[in-house]
Amino acid sequence: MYKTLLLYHVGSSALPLYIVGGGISAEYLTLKALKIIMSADKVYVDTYTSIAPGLDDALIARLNPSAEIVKATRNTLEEGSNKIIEEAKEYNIAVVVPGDPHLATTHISLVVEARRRGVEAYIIPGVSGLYAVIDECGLQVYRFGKVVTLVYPEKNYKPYTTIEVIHENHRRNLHTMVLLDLRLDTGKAMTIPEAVDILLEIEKELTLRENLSPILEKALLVGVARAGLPDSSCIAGKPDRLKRANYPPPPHTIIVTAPKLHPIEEEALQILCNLA
Amino acid sequence: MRVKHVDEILRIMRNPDQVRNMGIVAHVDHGKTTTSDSLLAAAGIISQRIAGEALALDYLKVEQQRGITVKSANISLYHEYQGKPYVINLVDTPGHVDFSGHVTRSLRMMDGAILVVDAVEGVMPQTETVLRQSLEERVRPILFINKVDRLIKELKYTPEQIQQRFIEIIKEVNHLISLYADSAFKKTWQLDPRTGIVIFGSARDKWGISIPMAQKKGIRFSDIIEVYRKGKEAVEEFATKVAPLHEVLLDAVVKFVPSPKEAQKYRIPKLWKGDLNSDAGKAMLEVDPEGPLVYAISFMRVDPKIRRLVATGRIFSGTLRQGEEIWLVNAKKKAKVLQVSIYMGPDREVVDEIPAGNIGAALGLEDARAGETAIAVDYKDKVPPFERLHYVSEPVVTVAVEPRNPKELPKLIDALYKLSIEDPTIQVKINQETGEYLLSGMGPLHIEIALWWLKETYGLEVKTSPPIVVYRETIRAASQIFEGKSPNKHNKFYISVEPLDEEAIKLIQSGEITEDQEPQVRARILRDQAGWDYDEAKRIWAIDENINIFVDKTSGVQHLREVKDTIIQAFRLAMKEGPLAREPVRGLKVILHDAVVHEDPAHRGPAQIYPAVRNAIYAGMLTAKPTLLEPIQKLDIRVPQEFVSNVIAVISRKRGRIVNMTEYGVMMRIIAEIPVAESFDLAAELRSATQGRAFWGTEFSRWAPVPDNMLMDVIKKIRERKGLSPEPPKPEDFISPF
Repeated sequence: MYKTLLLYHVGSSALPLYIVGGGISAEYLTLKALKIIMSADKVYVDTYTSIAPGLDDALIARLNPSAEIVKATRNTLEEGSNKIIEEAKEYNIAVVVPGDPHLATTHISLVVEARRRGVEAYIIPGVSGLYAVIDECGLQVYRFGKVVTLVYPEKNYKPYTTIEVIHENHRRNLHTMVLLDLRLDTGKAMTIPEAVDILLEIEKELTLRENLSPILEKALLVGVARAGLPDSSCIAGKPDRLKRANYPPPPHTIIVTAPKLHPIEEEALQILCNLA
Repeated sequence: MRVKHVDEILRIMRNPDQVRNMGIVAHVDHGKTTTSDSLLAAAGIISQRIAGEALALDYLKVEQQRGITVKSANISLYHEYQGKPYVINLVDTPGHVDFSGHVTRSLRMMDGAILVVDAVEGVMPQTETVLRQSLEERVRPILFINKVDRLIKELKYTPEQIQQRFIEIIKEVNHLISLYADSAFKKTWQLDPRTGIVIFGSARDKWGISIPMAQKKGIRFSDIIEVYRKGKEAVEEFATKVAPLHEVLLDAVVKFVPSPKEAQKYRIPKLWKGDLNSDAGKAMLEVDPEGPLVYAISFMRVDPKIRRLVATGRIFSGTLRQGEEIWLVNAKKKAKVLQVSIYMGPDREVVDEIPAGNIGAALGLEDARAGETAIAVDYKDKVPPFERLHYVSEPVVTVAVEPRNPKELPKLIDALYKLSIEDPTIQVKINQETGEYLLSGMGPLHIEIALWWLKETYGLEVKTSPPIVVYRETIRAASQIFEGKSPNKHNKFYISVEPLDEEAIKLIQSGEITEDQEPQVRARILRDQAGWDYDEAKRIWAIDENINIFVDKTSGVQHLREVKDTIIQAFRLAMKEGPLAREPVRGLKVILHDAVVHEDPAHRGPAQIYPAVRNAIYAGMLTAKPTLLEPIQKLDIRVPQEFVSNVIAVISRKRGRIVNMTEYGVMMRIIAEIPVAESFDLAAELRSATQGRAFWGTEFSRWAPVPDNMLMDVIKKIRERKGLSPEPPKPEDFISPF
C-alpha cells in the first residue's frame, strides 16, 4: 500500500504528515496539493473550519481511489491529534483543509506537536479566502489592521473584543477584516445582515458601559459574500445598506473600512462594490 | 363575628402605627396551627367568605391530612385594643423542619412572632431553631405556653408545679434570647411575665391568660384547675367569657410587636445593605408611603384557582399600585403590576393599592423569584437590591419522576418548573443520558409533599423511582498547580484546588458573603471573620450554590477579561458534577494562577474554555485526597425508658451515633445522628424495636465524609447507577499526555 515515493517528495526519508491547504474551492487546489493527496495512504478532510465547495471526500476518492478517507470533525483533529501523529509514523497522512491551513488553530498545533515527537510535518499553503475577500473589493492589503472574528453572542458571553479591535484599527486609520462565525457542525453560518445587527447591538452596549463614542453607525462597511467563487458579491455602504442587500449564501465577511480611504480604494469600491 | 369592609381595613393600613406584622413559630406539634386558628375564629376576619372555615391557614389538604403546616399563607386580622382599631397581618409559617427556607422568608415579612411552646414537652430543638432564626431577622418574640390543659389533666400538676414548669420554660427561652439576639436586644427583649408578654393557655380549648390579666381578673392557677375539674362546659365558658385566647394574644401583639414604623428603623439597617441616607433608605426607615416603592417579595406561589404566579411580600416603602410598572432588581427586568390584593386566608381581596408597612400580593410579576426586590422604575439603578434572601440549597434526596401517562410529559415539565419557582429549595434536573426528570429536596418528606402538589394542583399522576441519596464530592488536601489545555491547545489555564475553610463555608451558608456583594465588603468580612488575605479575598470571581469559591490570582494576562464569564461558567459546570461520581462538589477553593488565551474570539469560545478549565480542576481534585460527603440526619427521639437499649441498637446498626440522652419524666429523650443513606427504613425499625412507642423528628444536620472503607464501594454504586464505568477516572485522564 506504500506509494510514498511515487511522485516527488518534500521531506526527508521519514514518512511525513502534510497539512494541505485546499483553497477556496476544489478549483483552487494547487498542483502541490494534488500531488500530496494522490500519494497519501490516508486522507483526513477537514469539514468544519470553513466552506470550500467541491473540496470533499468524494473529490479525494476520485483523486486517490486507494486511500483511506476520513471526514474529520473538530473532535477528530483536536482530541484525536495523538492518533493522527501516531499514524504518521507508519503511513503517509494528509490532512486537507479549506483555504490556507494557518487560519485554523488546530492545524498549526498539529504540526508543532508532530515535529516535537520526531514526525516530519509540513504545512502546504493554499489559496486563502482572506485574500480573496481583499481581491473582491480592492482595498489595499497594507492598510489592514488586526483580523478579528465575530462569534454569536451567548448567554454568558458577548464578543466585545471584536468591537474593541475594530475601534483600535479605526483609531489607527486601518481597515478591519471581520470574519463571521461558521459553526458547520451545527449548520449555522453568520450572514452579513445578522452580523451588522450583532455589531451594532454590542457596540451600543460596550460604548454605553465604557462611555465611548460608537463609530459603526457612520462607518463605511464592505460586505463580501463567497469571495473567489463564481457567484461572489460585494456591497459597500453604511450599515443600513448592507442590512437591506441580498447576498448569495455564506461564507460571508465584513470589512470595516478605515476612516480615510485612499482615492484609488474609493474608486475600487465604487466600481467593484457598487459604492454610491 | 365582626366583619370589616376592605375599605375600612385599607384606611387603617395607611397608618403604620395601627399596623402589626407578625407570625407564629413553633416546634412541630406544639400547636401553631390551632393557635392561628383560634385567632382567626374569633378575631375580626375581614372577609365573610372564609368565616367558619376550619383551619383557614392550613388550606392545603396535605397539611390537614398531616396535621402540620407546609407552606406559608397569610391573613389580615382586625383587632381593637384600648378603643383603637388595628390591622394585624398574620404571616403563617411552616412547622416542619424540612422547609426552613420557608421559615426564613416568612420571618422577613414580620416584626414580631408568637413563639408557641408545649407546656409538657418544653423547649425542643426546633423551638430553638425557629427562635434563633427569628432573632437573627430581628423579629421580636412573644411567648405562648400552650397545652396547659395537659399539665392539669394528664400530669395532675399542683399550682406550684405548674408555676415551676412555666418558670423553667421562660428561663430557657430567655437564655436562648440572650444567646442569639443581637446585642441591642439581648436585654430589652427578655420576657418578663409580669408585663403580659408571656401567655399561658390551651389553644385547643381556646383560653389564654397573662399575669397582668390574671391579676386584673383575679384568676389563680387553682381556679383554672377547678374549671377543668368541673368539666367541658365549664372550660368552654371560661374560654368564651373569662379568658378568650385570641384577646390576650392579640392584645400582646399590639402591645409588644413593634409597629412597622418602629421596627423598620432597626430592621432595615440589618436586612438591607444599601445607603440609609439615600431616598429609598430614608423612605424605608420612615415607612413613607410617598417614597420610592421597595417591595420585598418573599414568596412566588401558584394560585391553584387561576394557575398564575402570585408574589407575596412586604412593602417597606412607597405604595404598591395596580397598573404601575416596577423594576425587578435581581431579574433586571421591568414588570407591570396587573393586580394588587390583600390576603384573607385562602382568598385574596383585590384592592387598588397597599401602602408601606403592610404585606401584599401582586399579580403580573412572572419573572420574579422568591427573594426578589421590586422597586420603583425611576430608581432602577439607584436602589441596591434588598439584602438577598439567601438560600444555600443543599438537597440531599432525589427521585426520578415520570408521568403515568406519557402524553402528560409537557404538563409535568411545566408543573416542575412552577414548583421550583414556588419552592427554591426544590431542584429539578434532567438526566441527559436517560432523559429522566430528577426532583431533589431537603428530605424524604419534602419530596413527598412536592409530589402531592403535582397531583393536587395539576392532576398529575407520577411514577417515582426509589429515593436516592445525593452525595457531595470534596477534597481533603491542597493540590499542586495543573495545566488545563483547550482542545485546540491554544488556551491554557493553570489551576490549583484546596479545601475551603470552615469559616468561609459558614459565611456562605448564612448568606453573609454572596457572589453579588461589593468585592471590598466581601473581602473585609472574609478577612475579619475567616482570616483570609484581603487581596486574595478581593479577587473572588465566583461563589457557586454548592459552596465553592473561584479566585483569580493571575496578573496581566491578555484577553482574560473577555473570557472571564466563560471561565466562571466552566467552573460552575465542573462544580455541578465532580470527577469521582459526578455528584455535586462542595467546599472547594479553586485558584487560577495563570492563563494563556488565544487572540481571536473564534478560538476561545466555550467549547475550548470549558474543557480546559474543567480538566485542570478535576486533575487537581483527584490528587488532593478526594472523598464523598454524605448527608447526616439528626434524630430527636422520645421513648419509654425500657426501650432505650433497643433504640440504641437500631441507631448503631445504622452507622449512627448517640449525641445526647436526657431523662424526660418517664420518657428518655435521645438525640442521635445517622446517615440519610441508612434512614429509609428507620421508621419501620424503630417501630418494631419499641412496639410503636417511640416518636421522633428528623432534621438535616451536616455533611460528613463517607468512611474510607466504604468509599470505593459507594462511588462504584453511584457510577453504575449513572451508567458510568465503575472505576473513577485518574488524574492522568484530565491532563494532556503531551
